[in-house]
Parts: sequence; structure tokens; C-alpha cells
Amino acid sequence: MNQDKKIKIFLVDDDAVYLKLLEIELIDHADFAIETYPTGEKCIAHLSHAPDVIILDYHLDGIDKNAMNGIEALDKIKAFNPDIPVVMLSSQDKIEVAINCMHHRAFDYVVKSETAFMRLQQIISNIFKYKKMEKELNWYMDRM
Amino acid sequence: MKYTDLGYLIQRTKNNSEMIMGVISAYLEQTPPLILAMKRGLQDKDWNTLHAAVHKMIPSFAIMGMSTDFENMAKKILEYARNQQQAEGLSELVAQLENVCTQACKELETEFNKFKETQS
Repeated sequence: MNQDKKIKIFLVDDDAVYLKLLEIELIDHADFAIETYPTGEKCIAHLSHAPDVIILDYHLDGIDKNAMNGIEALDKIKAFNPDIPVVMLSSQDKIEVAINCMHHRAFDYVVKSETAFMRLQQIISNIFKYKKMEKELNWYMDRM
Repeated sequence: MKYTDLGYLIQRTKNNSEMIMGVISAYLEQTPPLILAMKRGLQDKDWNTLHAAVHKMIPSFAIMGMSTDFENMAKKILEYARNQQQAEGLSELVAQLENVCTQACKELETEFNKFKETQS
């Protein structure tokens, strides 16, 4: 996690309306520092900012056919740092999309519905609970 | 007939006018090029463009409080585009959705200006 204790979250979506609302939903949280990007390329270019979590749209190449799609961006993030949890967002509630995301090591997959914002907050909280548990476990393992 | 309802947005932003204006402004900027892309996709039988444009419109419907009837209309267009079908009624559906989104933009522009006036 970042030294200033804030959880740095990257939000990546080419849908400006959804991106704005997502930012509004999470910005209220005092522990979050939010950075928003409209493309996968811009997200990748800023990975040196060390995000703790990335929320990434699956369908980034809808209108701009030359744009990096969500899965390509996910692969590049994982190649940069496999420990960054990436939560995939999609307006398609399809099992093959979910499976594809999981195969590419996404932490979770959320459908853009009315409950998506609540689900994302829960997932982010679970990520940090899980990370804390892992840290504690490693601490005990080192002493065994 | 009213096409939009800001109730959901007001609730999510806790009635923060600056935030509401930010979302409306993003919608007003994003939607006209999507309408053009949708029409171009239909005209050129470019099903991928038609699909992509309509697909990108859908999440905004709920945010702007637009009826699920319009969302279903958009989903029907997606289905035709996915099957690469120039089915009868597709042009009519695209024209209807264009009208819905254009009317929504008009309403939201008025709402945006109201918020702006109350701020100044």
C-alpha cells in the first residue's frame, strides 16, 4: 500500500459518464486516492504511480477499434506487477466474459448494474482484508 | 413526455450540484458522437460500430433515469447487430433510439443550465 496510507485506486473506462459516477462513488471514501483514465494505454503509462487496486472496463475498444481492449490492458498490468488486484467491469452479464477475465487473473468481475458501486466497495474492502491476512500469515510462517 | 429523471443521480451524489453537473456534462459530451456512430453503423452495415455505439449508451440510461423500455430498445438493436442482421424494423428502432437520446440531451442541457444558474 502507499506510504501515505491512502489506497490508490485507478479507474479505467472509456464511458465518461460511468467513469465520472464511479469516481463520485469512491471519492467520498477518505481512505481512497482516485486516478481516472479513459483508455488502457493511459492506465499502463501511469502504472509507476503504484496503484493498490485497478477497476478496469472490459470493453475499452468499442468505438476506437485501435484502442487496447480490457483483457490486453489486464495482461499488461499483470506483466508489470502480478500482485495488483484488477477488478473487471462490463455491461455484459455473460459467463464467457467472466471466465475470460478470471483466466487472465482478474481478481473479480462486476456487471455495470445499479448495485455495481456497492459491490465494488465490498470487493475493495475484501481485497484489503485478504492482503492483511496474507501478511499476517507470512509473518507467522517466517517465525516457524 | 419526459425522458430523463435525475432522482438516481441526485441520490448517488447526495444532491451535490457540482457532481451532478459533472455527470450531465459527460453525458452531453459523449452522447452526440455515439448517436452519429450508431447511424453511421446502420447506414454502412458496419455491425461492429453499430453494436459498439449502442453498447456504450446503455449504462447511462439507468444513471439518467431513462425508462427500461429504452434500454430494451437498445438491447434489441444490439441483438440485431450481433447477428449481423438488417432485419425489418432495425432502421425504425435506430431512429427511435436517436430520438430518445436527442430528447434526453435537450432535457439534460436544460437541467444543467438550471444548476448553473443556482450556482451563480
